[in-house]
Amino acid sequence: MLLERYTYKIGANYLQYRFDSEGPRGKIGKMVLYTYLTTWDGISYYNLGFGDYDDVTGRLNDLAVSDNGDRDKILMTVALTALEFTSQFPDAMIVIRGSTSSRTRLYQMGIARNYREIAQIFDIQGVTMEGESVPFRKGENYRSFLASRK
Amino acid sequence: MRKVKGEIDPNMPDLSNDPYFVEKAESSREMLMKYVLPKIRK
Repeated sequence: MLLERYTYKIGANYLQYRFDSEGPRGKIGKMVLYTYLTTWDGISYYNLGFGDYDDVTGRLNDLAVSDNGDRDKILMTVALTALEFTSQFPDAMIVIRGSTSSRTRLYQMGIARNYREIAQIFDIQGVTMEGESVPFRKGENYRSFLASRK
Repeated sequence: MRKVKGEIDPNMPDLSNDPYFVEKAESSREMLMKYVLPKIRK
């Protein structure tokens, strides 16, 4: 099934992805930002940052709740940026952690809902509350997620 | 695999040094170094 997604623009370094959410609350700028964290055992870890982007102030707000009725379309677009990003950085491991615990749960539900499609392309690990990375399982709660290309 | 390439925007502002996100990344780095990576079996 081809899920709906937004068209995005890419920063010249392939670390930033910009798109617009469109819904009842109008057009809301969004940005996905991948930030290098560290390299461990030959794997480079990048943090996935995501939030509302204001073109005027140039600021990214990862605490904003835009409530624009397009949650799944946004999650799909973010997932596609991860696909694009890992095409450029195939050995990268993406660290996904919501800006709040409720947003982490939102990511968790999004991964669970679309796990069959996601798992064809990415290995998804859940990081437990004890800090152990284990294969993602639906219904489990995690503090963050690790995603790498298969 | 389907190509999903977006369009490159050379004028997109560089947010890599945004203080807020530098701090967030540092927090994620600390979590990785302290809790996650030491438990990954080589």
